[in-house]
This record gives sequence, structure tokens and C-alpha cells, in this order.
Amino acid sequence: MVDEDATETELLIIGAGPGGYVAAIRAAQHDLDVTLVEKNAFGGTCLNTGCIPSKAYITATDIAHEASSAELMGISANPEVDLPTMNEWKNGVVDQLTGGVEKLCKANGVRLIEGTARFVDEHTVAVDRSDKQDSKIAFDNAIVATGSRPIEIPGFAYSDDPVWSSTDALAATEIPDRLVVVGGGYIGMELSTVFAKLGTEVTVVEMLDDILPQYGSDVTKIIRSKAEELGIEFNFGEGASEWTETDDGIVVESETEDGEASAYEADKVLVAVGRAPVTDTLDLDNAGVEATDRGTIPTDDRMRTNVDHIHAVGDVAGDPMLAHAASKEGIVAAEVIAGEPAAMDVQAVPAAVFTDPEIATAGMTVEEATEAGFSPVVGEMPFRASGRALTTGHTDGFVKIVADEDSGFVLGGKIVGPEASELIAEVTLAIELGATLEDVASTVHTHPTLAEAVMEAAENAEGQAIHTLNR
Amino acid sequence: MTGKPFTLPDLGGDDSGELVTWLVEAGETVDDDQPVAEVETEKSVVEVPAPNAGTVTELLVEEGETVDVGAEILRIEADESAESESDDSEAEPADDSEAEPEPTDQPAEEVTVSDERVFAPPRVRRLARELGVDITTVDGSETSGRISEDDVRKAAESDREAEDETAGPKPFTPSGKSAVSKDGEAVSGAGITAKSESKSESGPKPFTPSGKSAVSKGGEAVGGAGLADEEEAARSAGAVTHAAHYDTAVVDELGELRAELEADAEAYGVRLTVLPFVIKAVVRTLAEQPTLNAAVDAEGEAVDSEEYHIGLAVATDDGLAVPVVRNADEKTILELTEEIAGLIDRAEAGELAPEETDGSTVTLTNLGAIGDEYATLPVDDSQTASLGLGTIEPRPVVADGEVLARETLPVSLSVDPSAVDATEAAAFVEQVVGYLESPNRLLLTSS
Repeated sequence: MVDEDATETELLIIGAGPGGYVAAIRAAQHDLDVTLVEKNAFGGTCLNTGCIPSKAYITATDIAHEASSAELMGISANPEVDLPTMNEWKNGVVDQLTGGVEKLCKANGVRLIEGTARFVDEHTVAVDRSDKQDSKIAFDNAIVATGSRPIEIPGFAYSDDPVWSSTDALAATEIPDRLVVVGGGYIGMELSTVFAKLGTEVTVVEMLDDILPQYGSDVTKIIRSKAEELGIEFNFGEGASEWTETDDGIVVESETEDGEASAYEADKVLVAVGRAPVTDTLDLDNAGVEATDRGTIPTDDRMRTNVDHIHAVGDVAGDPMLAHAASKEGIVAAEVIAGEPAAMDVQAVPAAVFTDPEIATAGMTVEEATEAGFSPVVGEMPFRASGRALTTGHTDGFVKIVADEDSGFVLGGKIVGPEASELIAEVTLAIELGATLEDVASTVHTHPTLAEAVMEAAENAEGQAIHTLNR
Repeated sequence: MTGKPFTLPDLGGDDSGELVTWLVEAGETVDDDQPVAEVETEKSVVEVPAPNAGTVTELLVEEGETVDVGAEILRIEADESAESESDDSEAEPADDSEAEPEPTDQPAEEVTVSDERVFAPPRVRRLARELGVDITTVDGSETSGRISEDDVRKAAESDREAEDETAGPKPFTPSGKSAVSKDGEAVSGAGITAKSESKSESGPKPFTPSGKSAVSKGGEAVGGAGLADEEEAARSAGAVTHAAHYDTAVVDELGELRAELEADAEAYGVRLTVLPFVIKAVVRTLAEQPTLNAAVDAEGEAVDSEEYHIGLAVATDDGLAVPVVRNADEKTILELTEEIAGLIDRAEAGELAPEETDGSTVTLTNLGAIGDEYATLPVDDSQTASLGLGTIEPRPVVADGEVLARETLPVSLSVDPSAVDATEAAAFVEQVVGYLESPNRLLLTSS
């Protein structure tokens, strides 16, 4: 039995998202006395207002979209979408998961406290508790896992009703007829796709000259072309400057670098220009913990801040701002605190974008491999040559695998296409294990599956693919 | 509350060890780091320190039992005062949690993760951190230089030896020599365990996965599978860091010579054995082939040595000891005989001075004592060669088309192939065998 009012703990964790709760459970598994403080909702952004609800919407809207666009397969349908019901279903999924997280923490002996923690000194926090009196907790070690929040840009206050953050978009109960999306990054593109599939006229305003530029033009041209098919309109090189209310909704104004102005009529405007770390509530100075101007907390390979017994994990510790990176970092921090020889030494953190089609990457690009001194060779398998892809009706995209020509070691992978987010797991495993192209190519893959494309890409890199010409 | 379980910590590479002696009993209070048990591994006897101050509530293992690393060996109830002591803010995180046993008696120094791409699976990278090895400095033995668990353990071992060099001599060599006792008595401890394991293997497998000296029967490894090609041998050994050559000397003449001189030696009060003659044959051959006689210089590089210090692997009740016969080239047969007897006696009594086990340039191991004829032996990182000797006994030898029973001595030479090439190794074995078969030739050159 844990003492609810304990004022001392071996490990204090601030934030119960995928960084914090995972760290808490792992630390408890190592017999540490753990206290986890969460100000809002267990599960953090990922479970409540991020990955999980957005994937729920993506799946649901895919079903509607697929049903209405399968005439070629002999299916004609005009699905009716009831957004409040979809929203309710999504909330049920979220509740189940967040409830599960809470139960898991408790079952592992983690003490849960609702409130906002701020540092008093380097071994004490004060917790502002909504339900009870404020309390102080003394700790031996701490993990800061406060995550991030959507960045607000001048002229677009999330407190104004027509201005949506990603959180608002995922809680919407009405499908807007017209939506301007500011930002062509992964959040903007995923939500643009969701609403486009719900029938919304979507206009993307992006300051750079491409969406998702970090993935390269071989990827973005596929995503852009599919998005345009869905009716999404792109306006590159423009920054949104302000919005105004009209009789018939709103107008979002934008400007190019040269001062050329444009205006887009809409009902809502979704601002998705990135996320900023949450450190302003922490009083880091009191503990002597340093943060950058951006607000991120720098850490070493053991996830330690400049103060050795205070660690930081997840979005608050900077890029990559990904839930699975946060969880890994949380495990490393917990194990380091437990005296284990853990460190953040991963060779690849995969990334996935749940656009249509999906994008997933892991490890090095060809350019990065060259820079690191390898002689990269690239193998490719287009999904149009995959039997399984043909049967799903989704043949856009490819698997590309990057390896070192001399040693055959797999260095990276880039996948665009159906289930890319799942397929990247094999490439990531190959990278972590130090597997070679031959290892991947020699592994029997189930037929007919999309995963065969990974094997074929490896074989292509070796110049002996069966289902493509090795040119 | 019966106290928290304490598990056997990492013993520096071995997966298990024999718990030889309990140094505490149930109910006894112990200090932090106080030795609680002596555990014998293949390499040495290790004192296992208490994880924290407290009271031992229960011993979970009997003396003489072999215990795996990670297995619970005792229960200990933490001392209240010790807990409050560890609240000092500057303590390492690990110290704050008394539930966590120290992973080793000396926690490995923290190694910073490099940005460089490393080709090794996650568990191997973790092991490197656990052993304090910077994995980017490890040469991988697998295809294209992929790093295995074995490579990391070897790197850790050689790091430790390098440290020992600077920290002063240690009574036991940290490298995994195969344990033998001079009189053929059964040796207790890991050496024999490893050997009997290797016997149950169906094929030749001179090394265990951890790279320790598991000795395979000569009949299987040599006569059967025929490890004539040293690369093949090294490959089956799991790593291309050892290569072995085997030969047999017909030593009828040597036996006669010893018998002939026995009476004269007795007049000096010395009981003459064959070993000093073997040492002479080896030293003479080393003088002709200096690449097999190595010493480690200040930079940690093995260089040919002009001195001949012969290490003798001796099994003792406390594990393996390697006393060293210094400047063997300058000593007479009588002097060598006396010195060897004294060293072995002191080794068995555990009375060797540290300097008596330090600085050997080549090691001799009596394989016959554990019933083996041939073996691939680990080569100490500070050396380039290791020689194993089987038992002298009558074996069938073909001479003039007839099979005759002759006294023979099986000779196994293991070398570091990066320092000694196959031709040199083969020539060395041939020359040693030549001197053993015609020991009178030693008179011409011996000092």
C-alpha cells in the first residue's frame, strides 16, 4: 500500500504522457518508490489529443472515403458521417487507453497525484492540486516529462472560436464546409486529409515551398498528388497573417515574403505550425536546470539535465518530438536512475506520417549515409509491383532501402504507401541489429503481403530482385 | 520481512561461478561492500561485496554450489542508518536505491554514447556500457566488422589487463587460461565445468560462446575433424583471434635422458622431471623465432621480448595461478627443476608473491592433468603464443611401416594470428618437437 500523502519519494516524475508514465512503470519495476504528477489527463497529448484520437479519425474517415470511392471494385455507397457519434467513439477509445495507463501505473505501485508541479529547490517540488491543498514533495531523483503544446502564432488566438489548434480539431462536433490549414507539416497534413475525406474544402497555407520537406520530393510529390485528388488546395511560400470575421464565416489573410497578400474564405482555420515545449510552469531556475531559448531542456545520452539527478524526456527534451522517442527516453532515464547501464544509444528512431498514403522513415537517407562516410546503395520496390498492394487498391508509393555497398549493412529506409507506418518496423529492426541486405533479403516474408516489398527492395539493392527489373 | 534478495553480480565475463566459501552467516550484520562470499570463476577467486549495510537474513546457496550470474544468493535486510546515510545529495543515483545491487563490485566507468553508427545489436551495446567499454573502439569479429558479445567481453578483459599493468601485479591472471593441476588431481571450479560441457558437444568446439577456454578432446578436434587449417580452427573457435597447431613428439630419448640423469640430480637433492627439458626446448626455439615470445610495452603494444619468462598455468584450490619462471634461458636444468617445484608448491599453498606471477612472455599449460591431449588455448593479450602439453604415455606410432607403442608427448600451440603467421607457428611446433625428440641437441646451444 502506498501512502497517499507521502511527502518524500525516490523518483518524482512530472507529466504522465508516453515519456512520463512509461518511465514511472519501468522505475517501479526496478523497485523504486515513484510519484507521478499529472496536471491534466493521464496519457498526455499522445493519448488524449494527439496520436490516438487523430488515428481514430483517420481510420474512420478512411472507411467513409473508401466506401464512397470503390466503384471499380463494384461497390457503390454514399456513407453518411455523423461527427458527434464518431467523436463519441473516439472518446471511448481514448478513455479506455488512458484508464488503462492509470490502472497500469497503480498496479505497478506508482503513486499518482493530480496537480501542477513546480520546483522549489533541486530536491523539492510544490504541487498545486486542484482537489486538495498544495503539497510539497521531496525527491532523490526527478524526470521532467511535461511534453509540448501547440505553438500559437500572432493573429490567431486559440481562444477565439474559429481558430483551431489540433486539439480543437480533434474535438470538433461539426464538419466545417471550408477549412484553412496553416502549416503543411505532419499534423497539418494528417488533419487536412481527415477533413478533406469528410467533405470539407481544405486550403493549406504553408510558408515553405513544399509540404513535409524533410522527407524529400520523391515522397512529397506522391502525397501532394493524392491530396490534390481529394480536393486539398496548396498555397506555398505564404505566411498566414490574420483572420477576420465576415457575414459568411471568416477570411484568412496571408502574405508572401515579397508582401503579396492573399485571402481565403473559410469557416474555421486550423493552425498547425509546430509544438513548443512546456517548461514555463516548472520554475526550472529554482532547481538550477537550464533550458534553451526555445524552452527545451538539453540532456545528455543518459537523459540527464545539467543537474545530474534531474532528467528530462520526451518533447520537453527537444527533437525528435515523437511519442515513441519519449517512451524510449523515459525507459532510459528510469533505468539510469535505477543504476542500470542504459543510455539513449538507438541507431534509428523511426518516424511515421499518417497521410494518404502513409510515410515512414528510419535511419539514414542516402545523403546522410554519404556524409557519414559510407558508399550507399539504394534498393527500391514500387508498390505497383506488389500483388498485395494491387488487391488493396492502393499502389502509390515505394519501399526504398539504403545500405552500405561494401558491408551490406542496412543504414536506412523510406517507405511511402499503404501501411508504411507498420512496414518501417522491419527496417528499423535491421538497422538496430546491424543486419545486412542479405539478411533481410534471405528472410522469408509471408505472401501475399505488403512486407514482401521490404524484402524485394533489399534484393533490388543487391541487384537481384525478382519482381522488378534490376536497373 | 525477510530482507531483499541479493543476486550474484557480474563476475567480469563469466556466466557463473562456484560459491567456494561463505564469509558471513545468517543473522550477521554487514557493512556496505563487506565481502560476503568467495566465488571461484574460471579465471580467479572473486570476493562478492555486500550490496549495502544491513543484516543477512538468509543464505540461499550451499558452499560448493555453482551459481549463475543473476541468481539470488542471499537475503539482506537493509540497515536503517545506512539508508539515511545514502541520502547525501551528492550520491550517485544508483546509491539512492538500496534495492539495486551494484552490477559489479567495481561499477564500470560511464561510457558516453557516440554519434557514430555502430554495428552491434542493442544487447551488445548495453553490455559494452555495463563493462565500461567504448564500443566504437571495439573491433568486430563478425562479417564486415559487426560487433558481438564476445568481442565486447574480450575488449573489457584487455582493458582490465591494461589497467592491471598500471595498477600493479595481481596474483591471478585475468585472462581465461584453462585450469590444470600439476598432479592430475581433479580441479574444482569452472575450468572443469567448461571442459565437461565441451565433452558433451558432438563436434569440435574449442571455445565456449563467451570465449573462455573450453577444451575439446584432441581425438575429436584433431584426429576426427582435422583442424589442419588454422583458419578453419579459428572460425570454429568463434573468432579469428586464435589459431592452433598440434603435433606429437616421440620422446623415448627424452625419457631415457631424464632417467639417466636422475641419479646425478638426486645427488644434488633434486627430483628431476621432464618439464625443465621442455622449457629448455621451448626457450631455445623462442630464441630462434622471437615473434612467439612477446612482452607488452608501455604503449600496450606487444613487442618481441629478448627475455624468456615462462608462465606455468597451475590449478590450485583457490583457482588458477600462473607462476613465472624468469629468464629461463639463463638457468640450468637443475635450477629450473628446483625453481618449478618451489613455485608450484607456493602456488598451491596460495603463497605466491605478486611479482612471481607477473610478466610471463609465453605460457605453458599441462593439459594432461585434466585428461586432455590437445587443446586450443586462449592467448593472453600480452602474449602471442600459448603452449599446451598432453600427458607422456605410450601411443601407437608408425615407424618403418609398423605400428609401435612409443612414449609420446602431444603438443598444442595456440597463437594470436595477427602477430604470428601460420608458417611461423608451424615451424615453431616442428622445432620444439625436434628438440624434444633429440634433446641432446640442446647441449649445443643451451647456456
